[in-house]
Amino acid sequence: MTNEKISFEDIKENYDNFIDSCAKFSFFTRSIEKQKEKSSECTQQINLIKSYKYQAIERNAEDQANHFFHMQCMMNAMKSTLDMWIKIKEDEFEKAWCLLIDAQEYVEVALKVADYEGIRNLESKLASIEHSIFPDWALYNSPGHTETIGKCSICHKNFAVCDHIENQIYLGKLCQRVDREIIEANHVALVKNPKDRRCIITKITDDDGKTLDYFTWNESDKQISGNSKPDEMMISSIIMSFRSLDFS
Amino acid sequence: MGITKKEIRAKHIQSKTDGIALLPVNYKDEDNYKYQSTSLSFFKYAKDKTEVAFYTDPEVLYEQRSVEWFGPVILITSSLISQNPEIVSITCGVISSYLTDFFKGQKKPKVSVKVIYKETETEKTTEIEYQGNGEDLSKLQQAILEVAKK
Repeated sequence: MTNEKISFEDIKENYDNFIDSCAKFSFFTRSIEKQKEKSSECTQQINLIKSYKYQAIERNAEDQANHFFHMQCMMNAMKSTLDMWIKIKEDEFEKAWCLLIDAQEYVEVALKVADYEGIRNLESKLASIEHSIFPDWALYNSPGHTETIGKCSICHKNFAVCDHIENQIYLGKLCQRVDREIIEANHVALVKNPKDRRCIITKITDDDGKTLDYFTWNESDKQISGNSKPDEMMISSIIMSFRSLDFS
Repeated sequence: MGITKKEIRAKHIQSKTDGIALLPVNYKDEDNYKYQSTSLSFFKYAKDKTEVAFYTDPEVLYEQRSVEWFGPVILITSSLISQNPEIVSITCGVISSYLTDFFKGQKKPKVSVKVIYKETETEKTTEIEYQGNGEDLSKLQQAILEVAKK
């Protein structure tokens, strides 16, 4: 067993090289096998970076912990993008869409720590993928509900009693309200700009009452049940997503 | 988008603080209060910058999953403005800096904020609602001061 130390600069260089190697496989035409290999490599690299981050947290080195968190988010963004291509090739379009949104959200959070040309290029690339690969959604679901306060993801206390603020980064972790329980659903609105763009319309009915898959426009195996009137369209959609991303 | 002002009946709403108070979204009711889900983080951020308190201890939050930022409902009274003429400017400044910090790295959202202005002596109460972008909060400030002058 060796006990060699690695400098932050060396870690950063390895990280830069790894991100570049991921970008090489982040195209539709790359083979699915290679993309799966790279995605699995991402998992290992994310775990490695998180282990460095936890060491920085133990030393209370906030700046370094935050930079490792940035790397963690960027690697997760690359992994989500690779997984999105894989799901597209496996005809799992709804999962692919969610992975694209995951990648975009990882980039948004990574930008809280550092903003530079490379991350903005990735942000633009993801936006291009969104507009060229997937259909446009004019409307998304936006639910309103009452809920419990929940706990703080940083200190695990009741969120009402701690001093942490949502969406801020503390020592390499993103503050979120967790363990919230929905008390009562209030409404679901169709909006152009939802908080969660995973809440999409997945099926619609056409003029003949046939149910179409919104991704493929093929007739769906599962029909939307109900009695639609003439000139009315029925939709099937995702009202709420409980996906949690790797921000700890 | 813009500012709307309307006179409302909410006699039971009394300020219990020397600063601004964060009201529940259903402040016209007299119990079963629920607060905007943004209220807690806003309170934690604002308490170091100005005197602020919740109207009651929050237990239930109202979450609207829109990209729009639904800020807390803020109570400002005429006696508070008399004691601290800068309070309206300070409050709008705190909202503005909170939005800058909170949405760092993200697209700037549309903002929806309600301010309840209560004339302490007459108990006349006005709801001022701002919907717009976070950079135009000076319009909210202007609207509150206009109502306060009348």
